[in-house]
Amino acid sequence: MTSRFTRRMATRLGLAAGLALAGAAYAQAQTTLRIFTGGQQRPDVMRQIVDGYMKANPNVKVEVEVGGATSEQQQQYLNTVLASKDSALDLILIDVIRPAQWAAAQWAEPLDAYLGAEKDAIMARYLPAYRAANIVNGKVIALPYFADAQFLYYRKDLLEKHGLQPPKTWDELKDAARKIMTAEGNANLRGFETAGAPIEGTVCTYLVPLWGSGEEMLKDGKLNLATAAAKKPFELWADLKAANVTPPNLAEIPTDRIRQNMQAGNLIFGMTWGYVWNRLQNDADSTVKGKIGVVPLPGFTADKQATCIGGWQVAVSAFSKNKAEAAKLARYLSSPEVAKQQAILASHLPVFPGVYTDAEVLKANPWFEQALPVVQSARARPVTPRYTEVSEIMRTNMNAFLAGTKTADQALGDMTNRLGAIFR
Amino acid sequence: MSDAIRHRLTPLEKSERRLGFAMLAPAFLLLAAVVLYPIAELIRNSFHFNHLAQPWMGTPFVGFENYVKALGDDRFHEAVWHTLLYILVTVPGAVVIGLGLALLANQPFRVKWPVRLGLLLPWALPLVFAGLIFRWFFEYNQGIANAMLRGLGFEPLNWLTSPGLAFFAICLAIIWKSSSFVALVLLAGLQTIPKSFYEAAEVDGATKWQQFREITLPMLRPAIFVALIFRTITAIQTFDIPYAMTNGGPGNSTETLAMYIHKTTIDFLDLGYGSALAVLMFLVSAVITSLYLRHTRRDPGRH
Amino acid sequence: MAGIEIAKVVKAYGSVPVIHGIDLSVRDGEFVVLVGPSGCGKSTLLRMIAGLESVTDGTIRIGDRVVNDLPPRDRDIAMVFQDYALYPHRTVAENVGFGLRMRGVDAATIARKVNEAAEILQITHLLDRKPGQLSGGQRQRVAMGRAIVRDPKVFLFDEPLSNLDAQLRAEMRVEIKKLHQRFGTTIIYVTHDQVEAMTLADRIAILKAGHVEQFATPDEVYRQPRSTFVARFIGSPSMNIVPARISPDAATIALAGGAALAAPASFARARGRDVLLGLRAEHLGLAGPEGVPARTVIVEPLGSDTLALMQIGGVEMTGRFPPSAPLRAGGEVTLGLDLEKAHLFDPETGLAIA
Repeated sequence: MTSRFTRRMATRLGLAAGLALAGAAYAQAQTTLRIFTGGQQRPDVMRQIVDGYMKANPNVKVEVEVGGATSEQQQQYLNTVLASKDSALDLILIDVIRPAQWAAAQWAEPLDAYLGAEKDAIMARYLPAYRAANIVNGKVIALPYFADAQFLYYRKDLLEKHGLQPPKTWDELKDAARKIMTAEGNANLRGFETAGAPIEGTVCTYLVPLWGSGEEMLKDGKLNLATAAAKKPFELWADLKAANVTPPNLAEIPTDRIRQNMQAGNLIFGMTWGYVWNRLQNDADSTVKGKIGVVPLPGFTADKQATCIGGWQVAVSAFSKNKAEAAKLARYLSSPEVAKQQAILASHLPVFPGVYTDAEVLKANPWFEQALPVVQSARARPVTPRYTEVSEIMRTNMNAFLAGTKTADQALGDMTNRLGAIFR
Repeated sequence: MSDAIRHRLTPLEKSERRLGFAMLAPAFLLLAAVVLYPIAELIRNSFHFNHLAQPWMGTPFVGFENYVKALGDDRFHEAVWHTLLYILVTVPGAVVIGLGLALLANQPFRVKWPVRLGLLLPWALPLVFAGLIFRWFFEYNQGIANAMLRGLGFEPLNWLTSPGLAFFAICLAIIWKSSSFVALVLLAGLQTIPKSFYEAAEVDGATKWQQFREITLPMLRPAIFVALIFRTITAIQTFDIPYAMTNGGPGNSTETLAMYIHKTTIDFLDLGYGSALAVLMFLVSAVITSLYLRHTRRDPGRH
Repeated sequence: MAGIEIAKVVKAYGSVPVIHGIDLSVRDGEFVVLVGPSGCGKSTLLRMIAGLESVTDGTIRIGDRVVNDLPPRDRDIAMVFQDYALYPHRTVAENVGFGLRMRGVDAATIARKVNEAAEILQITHLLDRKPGQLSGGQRQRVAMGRAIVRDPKVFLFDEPLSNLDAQLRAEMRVEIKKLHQRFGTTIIYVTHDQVEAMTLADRIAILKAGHVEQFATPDEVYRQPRSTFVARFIGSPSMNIVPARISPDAATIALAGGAALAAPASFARARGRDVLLGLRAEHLGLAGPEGVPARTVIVEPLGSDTLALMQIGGVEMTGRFPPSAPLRAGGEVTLGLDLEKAHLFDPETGLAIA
């Protein structure tokens, strides 16, 4: 009785010990990395990419955490995670406007040491704007994942039907939109939309026409809004509104609503980002497959076209416990192969000039040929660690103006006052 | 307190008192950890500069600088004003609608569950969700509100992008959401009123309206009062519904104090100033609550 | 003032009938008590008269008006509720004057009438208090004040004394009786207490399971109960009812358990039958050796007289004896049964055998 019990006990203990050992060995070999991405940055494509990475690196397991749809929602969540020095996230996809803030807050692990001697060579491969955006005070804060810029999406079919060319100036756009709207007589058909809700995208709704009239918002780090050009954006949007080219509810339109309206066939022109192309062409419910064209945004004159730079970067969290492995994954995600993969799967604009002319990429995105010069000339929103405040001031005033609750002078005045306190 | 009044404790009472304190201690410690410590930390922060986006500035003690800044901050003044407006409209609004709902639910329906469900659903719904529902409701293009206007042959309205309408829409959503809580409190109050009170009034010749004014309303006063206090305290903290419906827009015209605090701390990472604003909100709450309490003390229960 | 005619009144909740066609005719100025055990329908009937319950079938007339479809306020009645229904947030004066105020009577008249009523009920000193500060008896008076101030055609009382202790109840009974004598208004009064019924009523309606078992003066229901139900319900202690058999020649009556007694001549109406013999306690008495042998089981001295439970053959009966009677538990006595005063009931139907 006793002996049988002891024997059984011994077997069990042995089994348990064996399992524990196996578990330990397994744990040693396996590094788990957690990467955070926004809901609108195609987490499905990200998953395909990391699946490939995991196959090539069996010792690494990558989990994809999907955050809010908009850049602000994501940043709100990240603010709380990172302010509490939480190590749960290893890699984070961040908006192109954020590296300066992340560098200042010391949330991103500088990648210089992980790039080593190749640093300069690696950074030299990127489009200059992205190289610049990700190097803050000489340190590499993040690596570019994909590029973006605002384009003019238009209804090729409608323009052709009415014998029109894609507009190169805002006046041409206004006339084209009015002509089509009148001729079509469809009450649901809107002329033009850009972001007008109090969200990040609305910052560009101000900046694009400002740049288009040849001015900068900051000069030598000082606010430069006492110019005639500073009023131009207000005049432009007021003009389009008066002509009924923009809808009365422009002030409640967030970025993705432009895509939805276009996809439903209710919009002639939309000023929006690169991701939209793929959705319009491939979404099951798209009513405009093959009817969409993409060109650079119009300017006040045909030779002065401007656009906002966008795009997403991979940063390694300063609080990660697996920084070396995370940096390796970041380099992979920021490689030409992945850029090509993204371009084909999600029409994400590459951060490498060479990928734009890849045959397979062009087959999926014929408009990339035109996109390259746009991205190359796209401009960055003000670079400051207090960018969230800057953005909030600009978008709420723009939104108030578009809603008609502030005049152009009030909106510009309030904007200047409050921005002035930041850019002293 | 004179010795004549002071009650000398017997040894048994003393030991009972010690036991009482010992049994309260865990609850007190927990309260201290989750309430008192954060409040102390908040007050401490409010006297420091602490901006996470500017870590190189450190967190120096700045005295009342954050408070002085708030006094001169137009946006803070506006946020306080908006919050007061929400209180003034939605607290009485929710009590009136809630009273109506409670009276309805108190009717002897044969099947009670649809009424109860209708009463509980808004209450059980998360605030943000309610905000999103109303945002869709008032959306310019696809919203039901404008669909109805169009159906009646009117021009659609910019519900969420004109300040007056947005305020109205938000108030409507808040009242819809919060009146069911009020209704539940008042329903509990209604059920304590004996049926014979109404029968006696009926026999005595009172009309339904007279019965409501002479019996229901005065008998409900304590319950209405409880509902008012709770509703006011939550209204001071109004956040989710305007956040989901307009995010404070157009401009900052529907931004509440809680939203401004959230923006300052979570978005702008200005913990020092945000803490000072939060302390000010706490003071406003405390003042309003103490006004209510003083009122109760002056006007003790009905019976 | 008015009489009340209740004709073939039926009340059903859904398909469940609770009142099965009641006929009751109350004369103008009469004090009628509805009495019966709980669930007999007495309160429902009262509430139908008040208009607080709808009438399923039949008609109710107050005075010369059919009131079936009139709301309570138009029936010219006043009602005193079991819980008094006094409004806690109003003073006594406001409670008493409530009905007048609701009907738009001017303030001076209200004040005068309230004061009159308060004087009658001796509550003048309480007029400024709130009901919460009053004793049970005082509240009862306020509730009555509220009813009389309106000077209605009919007073309805729904178990008004059931929340009071025995002494107060006796006191208030007297008050109510005085009120009736003073105003002469028709009163319908519901109670489950037969003492209240007997002491107050001009006529008593005894209700059982939704119908009227007997409707007659207190004297009549006491002396000529129509059934064992009435016989048992009215009177304290309850009437003794025991099984018995009358001989075919009607000369003797045999109680269950053996004792055979000489039957009075009136028993000839039930010759040769099994019956239930009903005998009130006061019709038992101690007798000489010629009496029926019995054993004393329990003795209950009440002061004015003494009740004793007696075993007579196989049956038990309670008797009422003078306090001086030499009784002790377990003792053997001989009893005289006054069978001339006895009642005979049919054992099948429970009805009196005429």
